[in-house]
Amino acid sequence: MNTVKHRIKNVASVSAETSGAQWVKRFPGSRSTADLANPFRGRVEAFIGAIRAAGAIVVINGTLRDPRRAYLMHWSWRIVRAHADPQSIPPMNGVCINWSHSDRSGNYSRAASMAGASEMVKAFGMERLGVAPSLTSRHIIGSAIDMSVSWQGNLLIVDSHGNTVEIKTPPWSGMNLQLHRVGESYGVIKYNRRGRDEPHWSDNGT
Amino acid sequence: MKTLVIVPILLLFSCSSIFAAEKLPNDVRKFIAQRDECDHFRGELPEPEEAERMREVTGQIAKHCRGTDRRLRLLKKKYGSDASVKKRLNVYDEQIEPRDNQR
Repeated sequence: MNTVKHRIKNVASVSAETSGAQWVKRFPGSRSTADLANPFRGRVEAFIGAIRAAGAIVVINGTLRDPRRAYLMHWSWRIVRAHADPQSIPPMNGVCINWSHSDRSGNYSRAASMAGASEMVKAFGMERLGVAPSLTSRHIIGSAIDMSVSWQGNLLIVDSHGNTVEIKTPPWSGMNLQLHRVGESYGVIKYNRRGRDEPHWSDNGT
Repeated sequence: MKTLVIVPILLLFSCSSIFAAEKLPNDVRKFIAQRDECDHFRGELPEPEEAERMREVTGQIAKHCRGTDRRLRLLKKKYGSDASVKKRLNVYDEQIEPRDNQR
């Protein structure tokens, strides 16, 4: 039984590419609303259309994120910071990575495996991160958008019911409570937990 | 007449999850609020070149995540015989912090 396992392990290690910094740029996030899941996509596009028609500026910083990127971030961090065994990392479809490196004799090398994962942690900018990145998020399912919104003076914006709303009070940004109500009319909900996540909007406020 | 009896009963069952949530002990509810916040920001890490956003997110993570592994462990122990609390706590990852931070 062990022999079979070893054979499978060796086949996997031959076909898979070892971990390292080269993986970090492979599954970039999107900034396009076209990548969002329906019906959230249509709601976001209508809301952004209304904001822009009112004369405000919208800059989109992130929409859909790739679950493969989350997988690479999560497990590289766990190997380096939480002592996860590089030989026992669960595989993921579409990510042909081998976390377990070998030395020149073909034997498992913990030092080389740690070095590969460490390169990734550094290249992802996670050296000071105190917790494992999550494997899930509203962005991963295409139900969230990070965007900054800004304008000057009063803003006359049309909500999804066709009513014109005049926003006269600060802040002149995505943190404006009246703008949040307009967003809600379109089904685009500002982050509404206790903490502050200025650019984050989603289908349910999380 | 039957309908008059059945409808309120069905309504009661359809709201049972809300009641269950309200019944959670205070320390469990506080933990859930903090850990949900923490888990949100753990999923918000931007591309490495977005330095400002990375600072924001890591700052929020430091604020909301620290010590939650230990609190989760203690709550699971404290409410080990309470099935509804256990079920609610089991949705959370048991280890998100470095092992050397665990006490």
